[in-house]
Amino acid sequence: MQDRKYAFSWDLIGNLDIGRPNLGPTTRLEVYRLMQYAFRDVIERHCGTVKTDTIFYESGYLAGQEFYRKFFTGIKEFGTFISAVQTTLREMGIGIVRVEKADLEKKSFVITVSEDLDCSGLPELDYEVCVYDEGFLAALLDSFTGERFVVKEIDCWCTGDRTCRFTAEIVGG
Amino acid sequence: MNVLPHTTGDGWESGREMLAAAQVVRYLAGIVRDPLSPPEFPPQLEAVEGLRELASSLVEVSAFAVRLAEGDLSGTLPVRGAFAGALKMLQGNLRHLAWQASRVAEGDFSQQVDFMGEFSQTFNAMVAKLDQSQAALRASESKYRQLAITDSLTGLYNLRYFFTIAEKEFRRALRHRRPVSIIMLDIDNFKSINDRHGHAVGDTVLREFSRNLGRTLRGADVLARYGGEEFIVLLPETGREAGAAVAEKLQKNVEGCFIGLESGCLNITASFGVSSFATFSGNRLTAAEIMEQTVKRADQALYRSKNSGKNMVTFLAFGDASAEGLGVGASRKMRNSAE
Repeated sequence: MQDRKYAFSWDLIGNLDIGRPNLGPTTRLEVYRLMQYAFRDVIERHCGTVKTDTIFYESGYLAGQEFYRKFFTGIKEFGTFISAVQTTLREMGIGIVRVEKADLEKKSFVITVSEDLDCSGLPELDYEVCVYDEGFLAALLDSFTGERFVVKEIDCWCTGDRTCRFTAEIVGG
Repeated sequence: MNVLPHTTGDGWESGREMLAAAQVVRYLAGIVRDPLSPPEFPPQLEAVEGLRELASSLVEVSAFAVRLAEGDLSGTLPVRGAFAGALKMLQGNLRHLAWQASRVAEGDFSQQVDFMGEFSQTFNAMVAKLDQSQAALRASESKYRQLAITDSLTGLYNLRYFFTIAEKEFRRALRHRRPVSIIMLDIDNFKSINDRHGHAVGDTVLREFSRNLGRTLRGADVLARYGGEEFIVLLPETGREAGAAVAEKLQKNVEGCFIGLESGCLNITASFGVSSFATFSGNRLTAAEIMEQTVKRADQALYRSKNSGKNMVTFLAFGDASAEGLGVGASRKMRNSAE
């Protein structure tokens, strides 16, 4: 694709020190969700639910890749990597990450995210909504291990749970 | 989900409906009270819409809660909703704690718990204590390791550690056909220093002398206290001429060094013996044998320096048998008696 206007770059985040001297780098969570679910509504109307989920997963994946490059490059040890992810995601108000299971040999993980940015507090919907997070977590694991993971949310605030739970398995594993 | 029969604002429409509602309550209570042996679904309640589904969920949630209470964290609960969700959150927290505990067991003391209330304080205190204990143990190990390899008076390596390093160095020298030299040195007339000034001054002299030697040598050289007022130096990658030059430099430094005492300054001298190994052709000796022979030649060279007026450097080649007959033990005995 040529002449793209918005191929991702950290430059698109901008210089917030200069740009928002009074408001600073934070905003109300409602505003983030307003934008996310407005996007989701319009995209779904244009593309349908399945395609929208794919777009959100891929967006999460792209964000996860860039996030890994910016914050976690160079970390070699899994425990250190998880600690860094926990600290960063908490400090940035994305969520509270916890590891329930980490089998490095079988390359199988169970990860929970509490107080999740996308869904905590949403009404019960009877289906999981954190597709963006699935892509985001998959990208973090792919980037760290150099292998391809598929991440699936199995419990979500929107299914009545109080923490979002994700399984991550190596593709073909 | 319509579980109970239709009611009006005034209450149950009939006694029969009230009886059915009581049966539902009894059945559900039975599931809650004994999750391991839930009662059979009463056929007469088949008509109550959603009751079988609710009962099934309740059985699963109850069984999951029991397994959780017994410490089995491996269960899965397909039931959704706040009640099941709270139990799954507890399961998730406990599983994360188990993972954190395994990390602590692997030595990662950065693990902190910030959930589960009072338990988290205890866990964090335990990890902090373990971290402190490990740090203290590491410091203690380091201290005792240092004590085990050094001489307490001078802080130099002791003889056992010196030979551990030296043997490795001679093996390396033999493998790569690189030269190596040994210097042995002895403070001249040390006995008279002890006799005249006392042993405390003698100890001061040994400490100052050791510091002076250490300052003169390269980082790769290995200096150790051989015993009494005698010292030994290993010079890796150093042949005959360079080895002798190092010994001469040491001799000059010692000669020019004055040790301050309360009664004035004390000038000491030392005698040196040097030997080098650099002859590889035709050699069939092991590294240990070469080391022993080089040390022996350096010791014999030192004896010659002592016998030739002290405060000098003598070199004896590895293959020089001219000093044979004056073995290490013999030369040491003679030297001691001379002082």
